[in-house]
Amino acid sequence: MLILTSWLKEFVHFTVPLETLAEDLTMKGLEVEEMEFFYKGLTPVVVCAVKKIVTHPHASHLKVCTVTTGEQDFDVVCGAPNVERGMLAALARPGTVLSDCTTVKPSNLYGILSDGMLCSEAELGIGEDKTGILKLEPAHGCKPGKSLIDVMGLCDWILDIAVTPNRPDCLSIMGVAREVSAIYGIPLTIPQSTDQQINRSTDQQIPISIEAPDLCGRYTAAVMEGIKIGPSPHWIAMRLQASGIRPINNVVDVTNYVLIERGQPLHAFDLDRLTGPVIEVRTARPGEKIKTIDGKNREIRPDMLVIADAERPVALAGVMGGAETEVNDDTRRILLESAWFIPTQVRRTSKVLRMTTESSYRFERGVDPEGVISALYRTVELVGQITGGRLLGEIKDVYPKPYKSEYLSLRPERVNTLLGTGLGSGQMAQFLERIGIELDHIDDQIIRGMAPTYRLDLKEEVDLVEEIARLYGFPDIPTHVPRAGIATRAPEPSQKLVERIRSILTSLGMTEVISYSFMSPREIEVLGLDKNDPRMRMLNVQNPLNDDQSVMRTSIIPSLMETVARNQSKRNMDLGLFEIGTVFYAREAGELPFEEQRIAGLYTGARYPESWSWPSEQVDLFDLKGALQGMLQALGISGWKTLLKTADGPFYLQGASASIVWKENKVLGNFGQIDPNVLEFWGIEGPVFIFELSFNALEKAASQQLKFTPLAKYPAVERDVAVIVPDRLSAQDLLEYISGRGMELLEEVRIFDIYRGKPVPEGSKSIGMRFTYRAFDHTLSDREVSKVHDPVVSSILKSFKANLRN
Amino acid sequence: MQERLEEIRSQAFEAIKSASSEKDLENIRVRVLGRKGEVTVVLKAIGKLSAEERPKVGQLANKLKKELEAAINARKKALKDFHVSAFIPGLDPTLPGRQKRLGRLHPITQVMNQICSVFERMGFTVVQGPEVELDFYNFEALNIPPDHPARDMQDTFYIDDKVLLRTHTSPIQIRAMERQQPPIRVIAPGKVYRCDSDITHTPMFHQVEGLMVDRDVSFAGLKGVLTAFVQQIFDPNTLVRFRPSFFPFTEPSAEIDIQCVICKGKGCRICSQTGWMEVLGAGMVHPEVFRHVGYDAEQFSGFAFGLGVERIAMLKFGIDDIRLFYDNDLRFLHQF
Repeated sequence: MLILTSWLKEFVHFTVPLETLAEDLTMKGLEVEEMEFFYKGLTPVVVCAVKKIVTHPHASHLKVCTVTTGEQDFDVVCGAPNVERGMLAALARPGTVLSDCTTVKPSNLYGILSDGMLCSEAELGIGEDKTGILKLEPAHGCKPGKSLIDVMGLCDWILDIAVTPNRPDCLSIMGVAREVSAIYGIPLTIPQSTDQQINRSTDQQIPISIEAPDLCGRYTAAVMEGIKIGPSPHWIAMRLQASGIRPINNVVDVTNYVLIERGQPLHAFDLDRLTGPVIEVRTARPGEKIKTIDGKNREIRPDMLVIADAERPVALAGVMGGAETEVNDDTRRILLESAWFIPTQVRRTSKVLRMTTESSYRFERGVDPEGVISALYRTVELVGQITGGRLLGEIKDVYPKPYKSEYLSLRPERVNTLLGTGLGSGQMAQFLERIGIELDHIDDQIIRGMAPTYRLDLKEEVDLVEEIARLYGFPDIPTHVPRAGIATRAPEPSQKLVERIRSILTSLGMTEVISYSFMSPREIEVLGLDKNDPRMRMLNVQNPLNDDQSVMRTSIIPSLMETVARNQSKRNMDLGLFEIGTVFYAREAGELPFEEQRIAGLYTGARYPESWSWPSEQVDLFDLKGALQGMLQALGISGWKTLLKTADGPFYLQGASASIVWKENKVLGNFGQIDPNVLEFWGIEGPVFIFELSFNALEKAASQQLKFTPLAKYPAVERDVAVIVPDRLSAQDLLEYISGRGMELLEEVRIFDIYRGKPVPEGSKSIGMRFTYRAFDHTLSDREVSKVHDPVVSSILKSFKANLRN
Repeated sequence: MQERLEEIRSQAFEAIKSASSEKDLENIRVRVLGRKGEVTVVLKAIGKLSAEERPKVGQLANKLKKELEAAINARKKALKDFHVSAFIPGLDPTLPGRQKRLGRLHPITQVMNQICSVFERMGFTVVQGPEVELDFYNFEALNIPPDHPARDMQDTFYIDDKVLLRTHTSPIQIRAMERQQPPIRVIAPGKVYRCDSDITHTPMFHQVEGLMVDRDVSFAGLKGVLTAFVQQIFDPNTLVRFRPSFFPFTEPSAEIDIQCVICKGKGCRICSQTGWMEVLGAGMVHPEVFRHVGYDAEQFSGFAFGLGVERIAMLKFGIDDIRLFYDNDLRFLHQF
C-alpha cells in the first residue's frame, strides 16, 4: 500500500518526523518497507533567469533562450508564450522526470541543441497550469541556481507499507490514519459528506435486487446525470499516481480516489448502456460471457457472482467491470456502485480467472460493511464537484441483513499470562479504545466491548491480546528464558544415523550435494526401467515451474547425474559426491505418496587430486566398492554380501554392477558403473561409478548393538596360497567356501593378488590369499597351523578344480 | 700472559668457525678447555704471577673460557640443524603435502546442524514429517481455511486437490501435537516447496520449525528463547528486535529482525537501508490450532517459530544468490 504523506496528514495531523512515523508504524505492525521522496524526479530542476530570447532560426514558433543559473549559462529551446527576458523560470536539467514519466534529455530541436527544458507547473507535476512555463517570483530566497524543490518547499513522501492479510482495514489512507491515531493517541479528522437528498425509502426508479444474498451482503447505488467526462484535476491525478494508479478520466479517477482514501472499491457504469436499466446481483447463468474493461473476453462459471442488467452480466462482482457498460467520453449519466461482497466469493472468481485487481484484493480480505454507504456519499460529492454531475433521485441501499459487530470480552489476567506482562486493566482498556472498540465494561476480571465494523479480524479474546501486545510495544514486553522440565526424550535414531553416514561419506572423499526433489520424467525414462518398477510410479506436480521439474524424484541417481553434468561443464572433472534425500512413489489419488530416504554416492575422474607425487590414475569400480565397504564397516554392518544376479536396472553397465544384500537377501542397495549410453542423456564424460542405498534397509542393518571382542594376546601365523581357478569363479564364492568350513583358528582370509596371463593358462586366473591363524589362549605352532591349513587348501583344489600356483 | 690468552682466543674462534662436525668441536674443546687444554694451562700458571696481576689475568681467562664454551655450543647446534635438513638430499618440505580428498558437508546441512544443536541444547527434540502433505495439515489445521487470502502468502505446488508439497514445516507441529499431549518441545527441520524462482527464491528450500507448549508459556519466553538462539547463531552481541506481524496459526505473531550483519545497522543495500534483516517468524500458538489437535487452550499455551535456513546461511556466509545452493558447483561447495 502506497501512502502519500500529505494525504495521510489530511486525516491525522501527526507531528513526529517522518522517519519516526515509519519506525513506529513498523514496530506496531504496519511494516514500512520503503520511503520514497515523491518529488525525487525533480531533483535536477533549478531556478534560472532568462537572459536572452531569440526566435529559433529554423522554427518560427519556437524561441531559443539563454538562461543562467548564476554560475553557468544554458541554451534551451522553448515554445511557451509567456517566456520573457528577465523572468525567473524552472529549468529542468537532463535527468529530470516529468509528470508524464518522461525523462529530460539534451535534445536537438531543428538544429539547436537544447540543454534542458523550461517547464510548466503541469509538466513538473506540481500544479494545474499548462498554458505557459512556471513563472517564479524573486522572493524568499528564490534565486538562480537554487533547487526548485527547496524554493517551492516541495516535501512529500510515499510510504510503501506491507499490509498483512489480516488487516484489510489498513488498505486505505483512512485505515493507516486510524492506525497513526491509535499509535499516538491523536484525533482523526475524516471528511464527512452528508447529502440532504439521501434517504432509504424505496424508490423504484432503477430496480436493484440481490438474488444471491449469501454472496453479496449489501449493494448501494447512486445515479448521476449531467456528467462531463474529461481529465481529472491535478490534485486527484497526482494523488492517484502517487498511489500507483494511472489516471483515466474524472469519473473513473474519483472512484479510484475514494478507493484509496476509504478502502471501498467502487464502480461506475454508463447508465445509458445498461439495459432496463436494472441491476441484478446474481450468479452467472450457464454459457454467459463478459468482456472486461481490460479488453479480455472471459468465460464465467455458474458459481461466480456477477452484476447484470436486464440481459447480461455487466461486471464480475468485486473484481472488474465490463467493457460494454464502462464510462467513456460520451457518457452523460452514470450509476455508481458501492457494495459489500462476501470475501471467499470474490477470491474464488479472481483465482479462477487469474485476475487480481485493487478491488478484488480488498474484497477478498474484507471491507467495512458499514463504510459502503459513506464511501458512496463521498464519491457522489466528488463526482459532483469535478464533473458537474447531479444526483438523480435517491441513493439506494439494499442491505438485507445488516452486519452486527462482534461483542468481545477479555480477561486481563489472561493477557498477562500469555504475554508475560504485568499490565493493569485500565491500561489495556485504553489501548482497546484507541483502536475503536466501544467498551461498556471494565474491571480487573473482565473487559467487554464492541469491535468496530472495519476490524473484521477481531473475533475472539486472543485477537484483543494481540492488539494490546502491539500497541504496548513488543520491545517493552519482558524477555526471559522460560522454565521447563528437563527433556528426557531421546532423539530419533534415524536422525543420528544420517549424521553418521554424512560424516563417513565425507571422510571417503565425497562432497554432499542437495538437489531439487523434482525432476523431468525423461530422467527416469532414460534409465530403461521395467514398467512395474516402483521408480516408474512418479508423482506429478499439477503446476510445475517447468517441464524439467514436473515430477517428484523416485531416485537420487538422476539428481547426481545432473550435478555431474553441471560440474563437468565447469570443468570440474574429478568428483566424489553424495546426496541423502527423499524419493517419492505415487499411490492412489488423494493419498499421500510413499516417501523413502535414499543415499547415493559416486566417484568419477581422477583417483587422487592432481599433484607432483600422486600417480595420475582414474577411479574404477573398486574405489566405489571400497567406499561402500568402508561405510558399511564403520556403521557396524557385517554379514552383507555382493549379489551379482540382482540387476537394479539396465542403466548399469552389464557385468559391472551388483547388489549389496544383508541377511535373508534383504537388498541394501546397488552399485555399479553407469552405462555410457545412459550418461549420454546428460552429456556426461564417463566412466561414472555410483551406488544408491535404501536408508530404511541400512537403518535396520545398522541397528545391531555392537559388542566388544577381546584383543588377541598371542601372535598370529600367516600362510599365503595362490590358486589357479577358472576365470568365471567369483572371489566371493571362494571366500564363502572357506568361511563355510567353520575353521576355529582362522582369523581372516585376505585376497592380496589377482593375476591373469602367463604362465597362468588362458581362461584362468590366479588368486593369491593370505590366511591368518591365531589362537586366543596360546601361541600356535607350525604343526597346529598345518593341521588345519593343509586340508582347506586341498579341499579348495578339489572343489574348484584348482591348481596351486608355484 | 694476556697476549697468550689473546692468541688462544683468535685461534680457537677460527677453529670453531671452520669446524664441520660435532667431533671437530669436541676436539677443539679438549684442546682448549680440557684438563691439559691451553686455557687450563694458563689458569694453572696464574700462581706464578704477581699478586697484582693475578686477579686480572684470572678474570680474563675465566671470561674466555665461558665465551669459548658458548661458541662451541652454538656451533654444535647450528651444525645439528644443518645436518637434519641436509641429511636427505633433495627433500623440500615446502612442497605441497600429499593431500587426500576430503568431502564437505553442504553449507545448508552445516547451518542446519548448527541451528538444530542450539535448540537441542535447550531441550528441543528433532522430529520429522512428510514432504508431500495433505492440505489439512499444511493449511486447514493451521487456521488457513480454503479461500483464505493468507494462502497467497505461500505459492503452493499441488499434486491434486487434497495433496500438495508442504509450503512450510509447520504441518509437523500439528502432527507432533496429535501424537502427544503437552508438555512438548520440538524442532522440525526439513525441505519445503513454493512455486517461486529468482535470485532470492528457489522452488525448494529448507526451514526449521519450533514448537513449545506447556503451562504458562508466554510471549516473554518466546523472546527469551529466540534472542538466545540468534545470539548463538550469529554473534553474542547481535541486536534483535521483535515486531508485530501476521501468521494465521499464531497470535500475537512476530517477525524477528537482527541488526544488519553487513552494515551493522547503518543502512545498506542488503537491508534496504533499514539497518535490520528479517530472520525468523514466530508467535503464540493460535487457540484455533489447539482446537484442531484437541489441546485445552485454557490450560496450555505455547509458542511456535519458523526460520529459513538458506536465509541464515546467506547472511552468515555473505552469499547473494540463493540458487548457488542448488547448482552444487564444487567450487562453491568446497568453500565451506
